[in-house]
Amino acid sequence: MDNNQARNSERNHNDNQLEINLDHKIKALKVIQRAIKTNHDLDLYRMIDSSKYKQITRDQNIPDVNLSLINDLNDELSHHLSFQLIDYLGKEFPFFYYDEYQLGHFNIYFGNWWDHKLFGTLDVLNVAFNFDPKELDKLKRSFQLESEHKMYNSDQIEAISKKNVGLQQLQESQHKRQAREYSLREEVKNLDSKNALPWDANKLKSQKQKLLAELSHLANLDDQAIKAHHAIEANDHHVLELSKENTILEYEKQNLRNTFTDFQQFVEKSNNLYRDYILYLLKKA
Amino acid sequence: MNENDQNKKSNRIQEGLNQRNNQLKDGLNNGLKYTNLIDQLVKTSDDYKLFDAINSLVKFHLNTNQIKFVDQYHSADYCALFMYRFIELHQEENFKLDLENKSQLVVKILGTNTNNEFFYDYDLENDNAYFKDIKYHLSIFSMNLKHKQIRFDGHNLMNLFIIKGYHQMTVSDIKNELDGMIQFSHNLESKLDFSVDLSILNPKNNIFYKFAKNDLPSYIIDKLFIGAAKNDYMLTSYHHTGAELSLGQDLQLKLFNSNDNIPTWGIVVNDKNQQISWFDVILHYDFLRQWYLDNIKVLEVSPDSKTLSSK
Repeated sequence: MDNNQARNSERNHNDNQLEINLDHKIKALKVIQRAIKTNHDLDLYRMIDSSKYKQITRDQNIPDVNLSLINDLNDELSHHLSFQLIDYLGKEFPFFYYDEYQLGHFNIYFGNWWDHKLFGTLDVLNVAFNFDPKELDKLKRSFQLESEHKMYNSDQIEAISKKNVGLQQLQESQHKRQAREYSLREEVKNLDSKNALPWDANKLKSQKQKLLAELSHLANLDDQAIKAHHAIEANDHHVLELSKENTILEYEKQNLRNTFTDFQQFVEKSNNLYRDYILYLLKKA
Repeated sequence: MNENDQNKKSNRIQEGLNQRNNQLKDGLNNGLKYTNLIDQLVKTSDDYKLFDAINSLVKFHLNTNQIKFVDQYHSADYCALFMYRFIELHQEENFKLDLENKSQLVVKILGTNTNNEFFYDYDLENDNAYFKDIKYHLSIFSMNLKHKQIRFDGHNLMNLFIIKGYHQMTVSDIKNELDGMIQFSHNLESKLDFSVDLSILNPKNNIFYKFAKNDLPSYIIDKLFIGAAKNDYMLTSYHHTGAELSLGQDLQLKLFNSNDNIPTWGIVVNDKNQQISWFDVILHYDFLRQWYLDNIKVLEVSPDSKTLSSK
């Protein structure tokens, strides 16, 4: 066999292999296409992550098709799969609302009330919630605080309200302070006009310093009283925000309780979403 | 003085006498015409004759050079008399007026215990008769006879019944009193072709009650959200920036910005039978009234909603 012959044979072998591989891919794409056309979401999930799928279904007969072939079409695929999934979620988690802010990408909102929270995102391809850990934690904490008969922001609201009472008193005591300031200044003048004898000088000096210290303390309070108006307003706004959050968290808790026995069950249900959904699709098929 | 002069003089005297006599006759005829109009105002049961009578009377100059009448009614009083008669003709059963003759005619509404008393203030310049309460001189509506219009003043209605007088009257008395006035307007509309602007009393679902301030800061909606939650009502989102409050199956409030270019916030009240106005809602729901009063500078009824200016 000369060199040329060898190269030709190698080439034929390669082409054969290429053809076989292309054939596989074409078949695979056709399988995907059929699954999409016939709305067989279960088949698609089997292709998306076969090992995870296998764990749940104990199905050893996994076809040799991998969705990485259409990686560039993930958004479209996610959009396609979202219809049935969101339908299912509407029954299992009736308090969640979804906003497809961009093709195949979904935000989750908790409830439909005023200023409802953005609670996370929905990963349609992996059938998973990605909750905002901060929001989830707030909700968990509000459940815990129930045993203390408190709401999430109760302590903070109480602290700010106390501050406001103090600020209001500061404003209301302005007149009293002015009177005191007047008499203090008079006393200082008095001291200044005294012709101190050498052995009294230190005593007078310390007296005056005491008076001046009180005056400066009062001036400081005056300053605060002037700023109090804005501070009270800002505090009121802050309390409003906190009360709003309390109200929202109350609604969230109420809604959770309408569906789940407690927070823990909600978390477990959320974590098992993939398994539950696949089993649901299997049962349906 | 010669004979010629003498004749001239007596002719002049006679001319003068004749002239005076004719003026007296004119004056008396004028007075007679007036009493006929008053007869018509008091006795007729024909809507158009009643309306003609009042229209002539508000502009009637009773005094002439030779004859002056004492103790006359004013234009405003004829409006009160007209209202009295018109209501007597059409509304007697559920709504009745009493007139009291003070320095001017005072209108009292019988059958309610609001203790409100009203009078008409007539503006000759623009032909508007303002129906005002005696205590605060707030014009409840203006009636224009020339253009056949009646316009309620939403701003003053809120002021009199919700801000100033709410605690002195019962809700049902306020409702009865205003229902009577609304009925009066509707009768003017159907019998005499008046156009009617009920302002915040309008119960139609498509009425957008504009707020005084164009912008509605979201913290004011937050306050409503919290207030509603405390009363077991849930404020929900409406069209991106707006909010919706369902007060039962048949009554929804919608707060929204009606203009994308210039913020124009207001409220719409939807009820199945189109019987409930924004005023009714504020009158009946304590938390909404409180919210309205707490944020009055923003939520106040816009003066723009008045077609005729009110004094």
